[in-house]
Amino acid sequence: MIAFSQGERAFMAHLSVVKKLSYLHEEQKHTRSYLEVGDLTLLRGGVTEFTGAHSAGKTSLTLNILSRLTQDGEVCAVIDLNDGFDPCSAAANGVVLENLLWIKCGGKVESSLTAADYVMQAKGFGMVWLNVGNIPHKELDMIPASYWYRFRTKLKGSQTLLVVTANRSLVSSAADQSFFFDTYKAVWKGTGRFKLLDELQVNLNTRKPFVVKPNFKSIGARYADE
Amino acid sequence: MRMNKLYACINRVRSAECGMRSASESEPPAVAGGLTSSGDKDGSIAQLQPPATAGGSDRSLVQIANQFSHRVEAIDGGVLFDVSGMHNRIGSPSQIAGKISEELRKLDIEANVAVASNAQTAILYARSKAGVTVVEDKVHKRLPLETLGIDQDTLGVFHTLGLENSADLKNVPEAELIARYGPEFRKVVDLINQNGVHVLTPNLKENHVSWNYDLDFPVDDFERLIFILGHGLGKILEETGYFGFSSEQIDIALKLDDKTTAEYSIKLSFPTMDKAFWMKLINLRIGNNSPPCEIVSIRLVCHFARQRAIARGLFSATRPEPESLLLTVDKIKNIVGAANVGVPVLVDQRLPEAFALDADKLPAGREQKEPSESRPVLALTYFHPPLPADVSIFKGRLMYLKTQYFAGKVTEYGGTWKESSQWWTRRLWERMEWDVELEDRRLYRLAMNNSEWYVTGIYD
Repeated sequence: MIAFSQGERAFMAHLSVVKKLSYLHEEQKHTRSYLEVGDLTLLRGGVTEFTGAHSAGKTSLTLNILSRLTQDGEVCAVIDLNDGFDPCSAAANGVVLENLLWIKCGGKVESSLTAADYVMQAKGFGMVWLNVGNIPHKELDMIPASYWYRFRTKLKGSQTLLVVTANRSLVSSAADQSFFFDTYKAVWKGTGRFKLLDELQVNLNTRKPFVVKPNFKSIGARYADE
Repeated sequence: MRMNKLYACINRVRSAECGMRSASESEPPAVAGGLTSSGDKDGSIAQLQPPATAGGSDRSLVQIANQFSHRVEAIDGGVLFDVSGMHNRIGSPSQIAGKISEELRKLDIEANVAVASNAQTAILYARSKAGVTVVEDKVHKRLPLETLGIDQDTLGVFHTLGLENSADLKNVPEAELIARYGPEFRKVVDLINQNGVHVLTPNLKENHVSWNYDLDFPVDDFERLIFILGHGLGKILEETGYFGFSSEQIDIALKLDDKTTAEYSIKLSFPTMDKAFWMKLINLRIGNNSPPCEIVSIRLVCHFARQRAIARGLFSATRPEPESLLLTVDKIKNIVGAANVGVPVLVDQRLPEAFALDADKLPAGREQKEPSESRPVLALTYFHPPLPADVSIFKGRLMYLKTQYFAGKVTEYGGTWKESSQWWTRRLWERMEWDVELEDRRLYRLAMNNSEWYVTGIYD
C-alpha cells in the first residue's frame, strides 16, 4: 500500500473526481436558476409544495408568483382540480390573464394529474400550478407517490416551476422545496358593524433546505371598488 | 438556345372567345403532370377558384400557366409566366412553347404563345404574332409598327417615310429617333431591341388548394384512413409550400355512404406547415367527433396564409411552441371537456362570479410593458357547488356558522354587500354577501339568497 503524506492527501482530495455527496448536492443546486418573488426564492425546474389549512395564504402567494411570471410574458397554467380558481383575485394580484391557461378538472383527481403531465410534456411553461386544495383526504391518499417523482424527473433541466398547493403535504420527498403556511391573524379595519378585512398575517416555514430563510408574510385585502 | 431567364406569354385570340368552352364554370381539371403532378389514379390536386384575375384573363389560361410555373401574372387578354429552368424538365424554348401549345389544344383554347428571354418581348410577340413564336436572343422578327405602342401621328409620319415594320425602324439610328421624338421613344427602341422593362409581378390570388380521394369501398373506421389522409395532406402542404405560402386552416370533408357529408374545419391562430402536427390535430378533432356512417370519399382543402415570421428578443421569456401548446390543449380538452380549458377573462358586471373561460383562446405569452412589483393580495377560492350553511343571528349580528365540513363562532364579519346588477332579470340585488372570520381564524365568504345561506368561498 502506498503511503501519502498529509499534504499529498489534501492535494489529491482537491483534485479528486469523487466529490462528497453534500458537495454534489450544493453544486447541483447552484446550476439551476432561481426565481425571486418578494423575499421568497424558488428553484426553477422542480416541484415546490405549499401546504397549509384554509386561510393560510397559499393561494395569494401563488398568485403573486404567477403575477411576476405572466407580467414577464411567460405562459403559465392553472390546473384547477376543484374549479375554485377566481380570476378576479388573480387580476387583483396583477396576473396577466391572457398569459394564463386555465384547466378546470371538475373535481377529478386523475384528470388533473394527467393534465399536469401533458402541460409539463409541452415544455416552455413558466409555471404550472396544481391546486389540489379542498379535496377530501381519502381521494388524495390514492395518488401514488410515483406521480410526483415522475413530475420531478420531467421538470429536471427545464425552466418550469411546478407549484402544488394542498391542505396537507402530498409531494413529500419528491418536492425540491416545501413551504408550510400557518395563519397568524386576520386584521380588520373599521368599527362596529362597518368593518372591512384589512390584511391576513401568516407564518411561513419550510421543511426542506432553503436558499433564503422564509419568514412572516402579510397579505393585504383589496375590495373590488377600492 | 440556353437562356438564364425565360418567359412565356399566352394571349387568347379575341375572335374565338365567344365560341370557346367556358372552363371557369366547370369542375377545375386536375393538374396532372407538370410541376405539381400527383401521379395518383384517384387523388388529384386541384386549385380551387383560382384567380379572380386582373386584366380579364381566365381560369383555364391560369391553370395551364400554373402547370409550368408558380410565378404567373395575369395580363390583359392572357397570362405571362416565368419558365426559367424548364429546359431541365422539358427541353429547349421551342419544346417548352410546343408543350404549352399542346396543353392549350387539350383544353380547346385558341391562343397565341410566345417564349422570350424578356418579359415584355414575350408579351409583344404573343399579342402580335399568331401561333407559337420563340424569340431568340439578338434575332429580330418583323412586327407591324402598330403593335409597338407608337402614337398615331408618329405612325403616320413613319408610313409616309416608308417605314412599315419594326425591322425598318431598327435600321434608323437610335439617337436620331430619340432626338426627334423625345426620350419617351426610348421605350419603343428598347422594345425592338428586346430590352423591355416589364417586370413579371405575380398578381394571382390563389387562396387554397385541395385534394380529393374516392375510396374503392366504404370505410367505417376513420383511423383506417390515416395513411391515405397523411398522403393527401403531404401533397396539399407541398403544393402550398410551392406557392410560397403556409397554412392556418385545413378543411376536411368526408362524403358518407348515406349521401351526406361530414365537414370539419381546423383553424389555428398561427400558420404552420408541420405535417406531423396537422395529422395529430386532424386525428384528435375527428377522433373526438367521428362521422356517424361509412366514409366513401375524402376531400382536403388547404387555405393559404402568410408564412410565420418569428422575431423575438434575445432576452424574451420562453414559452411553449404554438404547435405544442395547441396539441396539449386539445389533448386536455379530450379529458376534461372542450369548455373547461382556455384563457380566463373578466366580465365587466357586478356579478357573484364576474369572469368566464374563453375556450377558443390560447395563452398569448405577451409581455407586460410596465411590470409592477406588488405585495400579495388576499385571494378567494370558490366552493363548487356552494356549501349550504346554518347561520345563527342574535340581535341582527351573525353569531354562529355551521356547514357540513366546518363550524364555529363568528368572531368578526364585514358586509353586507349586495350582488347582481342585472336589472333585466328578476334577480336584482337579491343576493347579499359577508366576509366572516370564525374562531379558528378561517376567513369565508358567506352569501344569503332567498333566505338560504351558503358559504361560497374561502379566503386563502
